[in-house]
Amino acid sequence: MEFGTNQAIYLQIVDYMCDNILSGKWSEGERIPAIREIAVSLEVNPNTVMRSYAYLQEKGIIYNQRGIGYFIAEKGLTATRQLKRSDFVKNILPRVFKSMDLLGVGFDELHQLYNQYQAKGNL
Amino acid sequence: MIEVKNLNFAYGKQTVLFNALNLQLTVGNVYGLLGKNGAGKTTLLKILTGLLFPQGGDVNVLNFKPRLRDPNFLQEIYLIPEEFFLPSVSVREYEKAYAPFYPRFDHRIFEQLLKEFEIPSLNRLSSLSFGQKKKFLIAFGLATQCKILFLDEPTNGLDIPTKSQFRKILASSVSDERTILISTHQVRDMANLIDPIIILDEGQIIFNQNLEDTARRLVMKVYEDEQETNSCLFCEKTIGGYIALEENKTGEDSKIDIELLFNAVINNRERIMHLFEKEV
Amino acid sequence: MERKNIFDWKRLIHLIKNEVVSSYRSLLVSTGAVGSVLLVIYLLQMLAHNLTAFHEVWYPLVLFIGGFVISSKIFSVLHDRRQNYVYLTLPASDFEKLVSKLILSSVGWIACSALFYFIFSALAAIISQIIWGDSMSIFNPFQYLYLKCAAIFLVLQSLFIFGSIYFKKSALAKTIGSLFLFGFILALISGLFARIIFAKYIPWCGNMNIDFEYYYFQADNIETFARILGEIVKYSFWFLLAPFFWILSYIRLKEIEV
Repeated sequence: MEFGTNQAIYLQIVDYMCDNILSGKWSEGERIPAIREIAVSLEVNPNTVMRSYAYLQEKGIIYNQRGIGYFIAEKGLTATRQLKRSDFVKNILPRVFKSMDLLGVGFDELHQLYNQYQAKGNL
Repeated sequence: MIEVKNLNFAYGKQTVLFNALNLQLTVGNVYGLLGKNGAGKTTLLKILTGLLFPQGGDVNVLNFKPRLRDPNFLQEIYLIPEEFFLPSVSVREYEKAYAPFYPRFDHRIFEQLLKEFEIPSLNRLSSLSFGQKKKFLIAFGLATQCKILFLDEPTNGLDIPTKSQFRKILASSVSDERTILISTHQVRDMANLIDPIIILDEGQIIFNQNLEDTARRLVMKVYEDEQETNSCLFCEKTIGGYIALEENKTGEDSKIDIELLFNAVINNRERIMHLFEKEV
Repeated sequence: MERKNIFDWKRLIHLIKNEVVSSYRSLLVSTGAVGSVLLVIYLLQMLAHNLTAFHEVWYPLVLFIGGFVISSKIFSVLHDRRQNYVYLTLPASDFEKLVSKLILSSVGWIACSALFYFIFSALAAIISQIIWGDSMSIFNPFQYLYLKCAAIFLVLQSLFIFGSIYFKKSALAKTIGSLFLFGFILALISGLFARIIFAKYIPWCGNMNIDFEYYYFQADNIETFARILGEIVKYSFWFLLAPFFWILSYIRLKEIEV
């Protein structure tokens, strides 16, 4: 995994984990890899991964069963979707809007492009 | 755990290297010791391991004075320097000759690391490549289960796959009982592993902070216009515009690029020190 | 601070083992080389029907030259930038490190050289019997001459081990050089001393004008004085010289930095 330039590493790891949940790779109730495993595979300091886990735990996406490991919470998928939605609205949309203004892309054109995207089946 | 107070050190009478240097390290971290060439990173490691003697001040490592080279101290540390020599013996012979000095040496960990590092255990050590030799020493050092591992420029001379292997092994060997002190100027190789960051410059430790605290006080921003970078602590031109490190006034949580941080600290030492004195 | 931890038998044994593992290969090679050269000389001497004093000459040469070379090299690890850190951070005290190397290069060397020389002399005798039908007697390490040699070696070796710690490069040459220089100065001083005190008894300086004896000594105890002086020199050689250099070596080793 390549880390981007601007977002805190622990949040980038959060994103990576959220993607795993949204794509269905990790389902609710399922046990997820241990902190150390993630740290080794991403080649980052385990303390950073621990922060990501703490963040996800705080958001109710994962929970810790002492001595066993971390699991996706029962309502983990919903919680993840909520988290990512607010991230989308707060961080991604403003950038899209800015580009639209700069380039003079209107909503009609956007709608058309979106329909094309869906028609190709790229979901 | 490591406590250095008012350390003075000079090579000869002319070149004063450390002038009242202070440093405190706590257990269970992967410290990155950064500094310009010639800042004295290697010298500091040598003083902490009892290979050079302080000329003034107090050095305490694990409650020992390193310069006395007490065996009980030496068995809790392991140093892997930038340049080294391995004798013309096999892996087994080396283990037999050196492992008994380390009471907690774990043969299983050693075997496992050698396997992960793909080091042939039948060859003579002297016939291995530089990278393999370095990996061999890292494996040995970790298997001693010592409390402090000192690594001087560990990624120098390693090829790209080996660097990645090295980072993985390092990530897996962080523990609450072990401290790893890595001196490096190749920050990019270790950027996501080292935390806290220690910066050595002009004979003093001018920065020693973990990245969480650093991100609380500093923020990295990208600007298109040079005008906007006026208040930054350090900024660099990139393709998309200007990448700047500035005071974090909004509580934003950004990634801290360690090279940028290093340059900011070196160039804007007073302001950064001042920022870190404030409570956040 | 923990209690002083400077000696432990186990660590000493590990150090000795460590030393043997890392140097036995090169030692075996040199032993083989020296052995073959000696064998050729032995056989040539047999060819010339010269049966006198072979071991009496060659064993002391092997013992002293080999021993001084080895002792001068034994601490060379301290002066190699890429190796000294391993040795100095090896978990054992500087005292144990000195003792282990000292044992190996003194008593260890005497025992090994005698053993190998014994094996050599036996082999040489067998080969010589086969080729020439005759041989010299086998080397007996417990002969008085060899024991005396060993004792002298034990004393002189302390100088070379100190040289090995003290000198960064070519310790052997520098130790020998310093010995000559020291010997020369000592000879000068003692010559002067002798001239001053014993002038009367030394034929070639009978016309000294300072007659110390007149002031300090009675004619009948000058001989006793000379004898006591001789004894002091003798005893300090046998019992003080080596410990002095061992202690000096220890102090130097403790203070060594890289």
